Amino acid sequence: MATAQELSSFLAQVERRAFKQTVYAVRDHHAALDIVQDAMLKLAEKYSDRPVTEYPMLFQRILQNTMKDFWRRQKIRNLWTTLLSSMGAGQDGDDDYDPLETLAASDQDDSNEPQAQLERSQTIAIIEEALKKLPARQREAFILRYWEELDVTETAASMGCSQGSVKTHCSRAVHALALIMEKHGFSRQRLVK
Amino acid sequence: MTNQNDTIKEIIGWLDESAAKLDAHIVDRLAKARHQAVSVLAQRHSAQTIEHASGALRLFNDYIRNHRAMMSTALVCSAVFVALLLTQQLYRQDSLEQGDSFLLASDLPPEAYLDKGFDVWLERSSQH
Repeated sequence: MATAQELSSFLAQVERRAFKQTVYAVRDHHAALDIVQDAMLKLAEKYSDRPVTEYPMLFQRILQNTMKDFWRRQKIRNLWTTLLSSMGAGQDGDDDYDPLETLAASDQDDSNEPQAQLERSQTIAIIEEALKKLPARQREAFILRYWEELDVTETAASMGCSQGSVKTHCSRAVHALALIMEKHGFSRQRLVK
Repeated sequence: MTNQNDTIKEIIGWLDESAAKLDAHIVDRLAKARHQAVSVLAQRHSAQTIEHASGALRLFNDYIRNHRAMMSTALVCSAVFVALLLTQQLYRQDSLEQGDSFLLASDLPPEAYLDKGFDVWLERSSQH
């Protein structure tokens, strides 16, 4: 059974990455914070009797399931919103999400930073945007396998798919990311810090 | 392959940097969530300790509840056994009282009945 100290240090280790990972999936900081908090509480409530070595995989599985719950709720909410808005007249359609606008906005926020800081922020923003554009399963596989450093078996167990699927998702994700970044003008020299 | 690995390493490097640069309010909120989860775990641990302490008592209660018919039968049997013991005790008391009254009413002293040679002497003297 894990102690409170072990749980605390484990969560401190993964919480930032978990938050970023959730933001890439749900694109909403507040929702991402809620999801990470829910996942932390579920881990403490339901799996306190498990050894701390199992926590990384368990936490990832809980996080993925909590995200799926969020999507389900979001889908139902969107359905009602669509139904209600279709009943209303004279709606303007400027609610399309344009990632380039977000990028431009974040660029403006960093305008007072030194040039090097600005470039780094831009690079991070582009990479994060590329990650957000990946299909959900590819992004999930890429993050679990390479960022969370789970092995193929653990990633497959966490995603609820076969090891072959994990390898395929990861390979496609890496290719897609490389393509997106090339499209944004990243050369190998630019990518390497 | 090496090229791909390098790309992955670079991307992960950038992602680590972005995670390290989180806003203070987000870091605070994450820390609060972490403390909440840890306190939930601490509560669970203390609840489990109390459960262990009262476990034996609860086990006994559960046993009685689950074996109610058997327990009633055992209770009735115990009552019958105790009644039997009491009856035997009273009967023995009665016979002792009868013996005492016989000895008091007899012409011979009580010591005479304790002397085994007396019976032999009485028999012999009655034959003469």
